Amino acid sequence: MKKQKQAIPPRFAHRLFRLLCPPELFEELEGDMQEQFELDVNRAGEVAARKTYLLEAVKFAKPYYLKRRVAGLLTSRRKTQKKVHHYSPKPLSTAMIKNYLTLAQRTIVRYKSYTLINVLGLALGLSCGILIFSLVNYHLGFDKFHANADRVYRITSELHNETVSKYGSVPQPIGAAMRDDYPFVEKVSMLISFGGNISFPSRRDNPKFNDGVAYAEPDFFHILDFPFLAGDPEGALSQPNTAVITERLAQKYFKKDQAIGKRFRLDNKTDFTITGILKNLPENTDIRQEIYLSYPSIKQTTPWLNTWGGILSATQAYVLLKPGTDASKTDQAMAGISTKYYNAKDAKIFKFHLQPLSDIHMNLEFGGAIAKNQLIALSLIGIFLVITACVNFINLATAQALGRSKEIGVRKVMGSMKGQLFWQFIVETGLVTLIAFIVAIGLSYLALPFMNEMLSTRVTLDWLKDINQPIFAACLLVVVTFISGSYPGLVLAGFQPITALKGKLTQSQIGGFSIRKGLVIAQFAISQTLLIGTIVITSQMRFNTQTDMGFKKDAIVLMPVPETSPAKQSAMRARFSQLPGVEKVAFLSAPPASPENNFDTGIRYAGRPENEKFTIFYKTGDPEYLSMFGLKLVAGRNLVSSDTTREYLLNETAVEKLGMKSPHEVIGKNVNINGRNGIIVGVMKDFHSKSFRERIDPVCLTTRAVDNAQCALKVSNRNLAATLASIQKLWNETNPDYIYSYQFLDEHLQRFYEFDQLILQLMWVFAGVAIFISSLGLYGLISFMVAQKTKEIGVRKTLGAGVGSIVWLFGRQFAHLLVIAFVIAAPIGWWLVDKYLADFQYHIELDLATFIAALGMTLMIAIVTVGYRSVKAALINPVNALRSE
Amino acid sequence: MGRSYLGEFEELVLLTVIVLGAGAYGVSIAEELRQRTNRTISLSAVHIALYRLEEKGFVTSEMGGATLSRGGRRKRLFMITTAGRDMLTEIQEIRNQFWYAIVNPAQ
Repeated sequence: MKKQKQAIPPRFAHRLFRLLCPPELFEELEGDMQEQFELDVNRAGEVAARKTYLLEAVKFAKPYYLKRRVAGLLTSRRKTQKKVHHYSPKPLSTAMIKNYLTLAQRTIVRYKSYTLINVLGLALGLSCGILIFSLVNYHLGFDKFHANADRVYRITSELHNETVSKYGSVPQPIGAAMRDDYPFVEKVSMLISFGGNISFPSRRDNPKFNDGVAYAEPDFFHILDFPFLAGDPEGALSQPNTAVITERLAQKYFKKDQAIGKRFRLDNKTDFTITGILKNLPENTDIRQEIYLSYPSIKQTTPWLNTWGGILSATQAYVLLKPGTDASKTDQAMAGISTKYYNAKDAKIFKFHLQPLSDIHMNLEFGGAIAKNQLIALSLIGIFLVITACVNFINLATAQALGRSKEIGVRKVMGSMKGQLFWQFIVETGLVTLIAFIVAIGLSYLALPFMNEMLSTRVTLDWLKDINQPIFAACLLVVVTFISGSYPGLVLAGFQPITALKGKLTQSQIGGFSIRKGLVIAQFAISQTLLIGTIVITSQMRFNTQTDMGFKKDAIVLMPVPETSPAKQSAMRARFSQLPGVEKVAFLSAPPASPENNFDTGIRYAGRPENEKFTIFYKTGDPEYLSMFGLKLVAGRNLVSSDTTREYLLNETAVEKLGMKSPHEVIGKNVNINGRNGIIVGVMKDFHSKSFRERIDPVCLTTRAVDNAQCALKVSNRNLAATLASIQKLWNETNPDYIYSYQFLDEHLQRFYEFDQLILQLMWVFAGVAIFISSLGLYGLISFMVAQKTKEIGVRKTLGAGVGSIVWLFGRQFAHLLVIAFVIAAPIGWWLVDKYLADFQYHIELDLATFIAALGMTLMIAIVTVGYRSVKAALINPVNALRSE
Repeated sequence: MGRSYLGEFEELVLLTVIVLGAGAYGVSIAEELRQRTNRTISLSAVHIALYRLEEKGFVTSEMGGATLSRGGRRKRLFMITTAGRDMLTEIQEIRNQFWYAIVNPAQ
């Protein structure tokens, strides 16, 4: 018989057949297939036989075989265990998991510093992730709990002057108009808030509290769901002079006594009876008023409010539309309000719209807390931080894998399967992640109060209340474990046992070195950008507080003057002047510069027919004003205390804006400011009336005692505490019905820069996190390199290389990584801080030192990180290094 | 009645098992059927029929010895059971009755 070259069935078809064939039938079926194939080859030739074989293989995709195949997969574990000669535990059997846990525990204990670094890095990334998630989750959950939330709208106003300004507040009569004019409106309620002075004259001690109050119509509690603990929600606030307060305030005011039926007095004028107690406000609502007063009472307390022409910022209107109303159509109808209630000219100025309740928190135009895209940016930062932490973990773990190559080699030789090694590593990672996760939760709880304070939020970490948080945590745990565990796991499991045992693993077997370098560059670029920003903002803040604003601001105490009658003022002045620590007393409407109480008004100069094109800051003060703040006159004289003849002081900018060349020209001229005629008696040297963000504005100063709602005291620095105490005592004696408060002028001025302060704090935090994470990344990279170059170091040392030259071997590489990072970071940082500084009219100059400092700082950190690891490597006894083969 | 029935293809496979006697296994059955029926017969279909017949108790099987051919794989050899024979006989009788009725319509 002629021995032919054996024909082989097509490999692809054979594989397909193996895939489809149930394992228990495999032997007989494969035999039959093979025999049939051989028969066909003899009968019809190889080509035809191969074709038939493929067709036959495809035909095994029948439900009968597929069912048995799947069933076989499901029960295969039991069966393989029966077959003793094939014994090899599946990677995830209980026994193996126990074994993995033991191994993981041993590894963790054995490489303590490595575990510590990994845990810290992951914990930091994870806690950032947890905090950012809870923040985003918090912002997304605002005012969602109201049953009719999808039908509730707030009315907004647009004022079309030269520019369009938008407000979430409305003229007060609009509520009634909506109710009367539009059939699609089911309920309307106004909500008008004020600051309030709450007192209890009927009680002997007459305690006083400063708490905000809001006038609301009875429908308010039907539009929005704030549940009542006591009292009748139906009839609440329908009677005049009734009030509803929250449980928290009830406890604050009455301790354990029953609050219902009690009376309190508002602003020492109007009495209200408490008829209802609300449950404490949930964290996730923007409506934070805690005292609701019956709406009719507003006519009594604030009679001037009832006008279409003015919009008080705290006046809001909430509307509940009838079910099925198309909100887009209501806007057209709302245009009718402008035409019906305004004259033709004003109708073009005042426009009103409806804003959905869900939009209130997210719309910055109307004073929302945070915009959607800011939340998205925040989420991306969170994801980036978590991923960076994972990648750093991968970096360190793969570096570590090189050191463990022998362990893996031995395991493989002893019969470990790929799957087992992979799962062993995943379990190890899982354990490290779990520890990091517990640390991260602890960190988040610690950091939460600071975050809430910085961002003025009320985020809580309550895993029982909000189901989203535990779900997120579980997902995070699993995802992080798999992202950071699977790559090193695959690398480890894929080692060739022989190379691994010989200790000859190289870069190419680990792979991805340039990706790692890229990551470290990116991390350092971000750190450097943040550092540049932090340094610049810090210097600008120093500039803000240290630069002369043109007036004195040290050791000046400001306090309110609740009753501004001249008699009261002179009484206060007389008593304060007698205090030993007080050097000077002045009554005024506002200090030279102030973030609040700025009153902008029109000015008409010396018989000109119309008001000037600019407006002027109107401040009042007594003749002490100039000396109190050290203001200089460039022309004319100081004001004289008088309420009969009106005198004005202008600043240089005002004179310039009036078109006068010399300050002396305006002295003695008539001027009409805020509708009152007077004479210009002097011109003040310019001083900053606002923050350094803005140019110096025209300012005028006059005496008008009733406007002097503040009192400024110049105090001596000696015995300051005692002086402040006696000031408080005196104030309380002269104003028994009011609550004392005080502020130093320089602290008061800090409020110009509250936002910058916040940004600065955030920058510090982010810069800190970024630097920490990038040094971890760097540490991972250097560990990796050191692990690879052990032998090189050994050879160099035996040939006489010193520690310095070996450290330089590594340092050189990292120096150039940092320089690349800097080349990326410097222009980005320059562009960003330039934009920030452009916002200031008066600002520091950008200098090279800032950038060098940022580079220097990261260099220092890198030197410490790299230095530690490379010195350690350089100090190894070369014999050990060389013997590691 | 709770008794299993035979499909047409299953019946043919069962008959082949009897005809082939001791040498009945996947490939030989498929070859025999191809020769006798002139149909395209796929191995996978023959095997499904055999496994079903075994589940119904009409055939039994055992693994044969290993040989040098067919990649050293063993054969699964099938044998008819008494239940299988009874079933075939019964089918045959029912058919005979019908044919008798067709030929002698008077009855």
